[in-house]
Amino acid sequence: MNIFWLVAIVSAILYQLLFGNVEKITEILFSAPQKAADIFLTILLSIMLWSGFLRVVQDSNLVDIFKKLLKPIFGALFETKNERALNFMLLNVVANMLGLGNAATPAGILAMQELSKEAKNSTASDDMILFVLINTCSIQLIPTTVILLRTKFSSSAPAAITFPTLFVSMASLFVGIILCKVLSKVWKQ
Amino acid sequence: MKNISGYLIVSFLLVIILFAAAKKIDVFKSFVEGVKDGLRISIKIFPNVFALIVAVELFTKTGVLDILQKFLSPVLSFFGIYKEALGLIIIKPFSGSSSFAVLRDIFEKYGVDSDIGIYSSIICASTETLFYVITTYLAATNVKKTRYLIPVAIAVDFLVLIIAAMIVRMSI
Repeated sequence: MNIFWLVAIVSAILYQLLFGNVEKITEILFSAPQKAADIFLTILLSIMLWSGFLRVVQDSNLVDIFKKLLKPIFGALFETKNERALNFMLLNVVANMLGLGNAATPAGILAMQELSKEAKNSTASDDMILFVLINTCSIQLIPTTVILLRTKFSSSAPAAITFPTLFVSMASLFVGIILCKVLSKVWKQ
Repeated sequence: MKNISGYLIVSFLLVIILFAAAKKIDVFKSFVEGVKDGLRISIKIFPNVFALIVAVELFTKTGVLDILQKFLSPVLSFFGIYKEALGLIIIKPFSGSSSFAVLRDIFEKYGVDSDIGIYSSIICASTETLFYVITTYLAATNVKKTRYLIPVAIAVDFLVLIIAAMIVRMSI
């Protein structure tokens, strides 16, 4: 992440120094924190709301029902025996599949915190990497937001992308899991 | 179609609350405890998200993104990826809301049911804001070394671009 951050900042500043105007940079430096604050407020409130509901789910053991269905898959994919971590991961994946991204984030973060208790030397464990990767693959049963936008642009078949999207996501998830499993053996901690 | 996610969320909440009430749980107290957790998490991840947003703003608004686009479009054409979707491909890993703005532009320019419109819809729905996700999730932990996470995430993202292009071309 350090490298990406450096490249983004340095290239932006260098480019404006050489070809553009430095005013542009200062302008962005004043507007960007404001934008970050706006985004943060949205994230903050949404995480607070969904963490509240998540806690209700946890305290009522509702997650046990999902667990029975998905446990065998999770047991095969992840090494951890930490029940809390597994529960949070399950909630995260189920919420993501239903397109409830806002509910998925708090569960995902809590899962990472649980998993990091097992990690050593501030290095990501195989389980942590695989879990983040599953999250970046974006498995949604119905891509509601894109369909909605297509409807607004009066598409003749707004939902026609549903199956291709699912297929592409599943294929990439499958390859991603295999890559992770292979690299976890080679790329030592 | 429009209301599916709305119905889904509301029924999901109803099930949660009724289930908890049936189990005789102090739902209010549970909820408030969860909100406290949420507040703690948000404050912990904020510095990282802030840093990412500042970098993305500088990168996209100074015009460096445009140069990168020029540089990358022959590479994409080589893999059969629609180069018109390049803006979306570069923005999506960083910011979900900006990527929808880009998708909107593509619909306006090329038409929502054109190959490019369909291709862009598919990749917008099947890729994630991967750098954002990685930053947010790792910010909650003390992890510094991410090992093979970023290379694999990028490789998988790239694979999505190629497979989606193949599907769109096949279904003409």
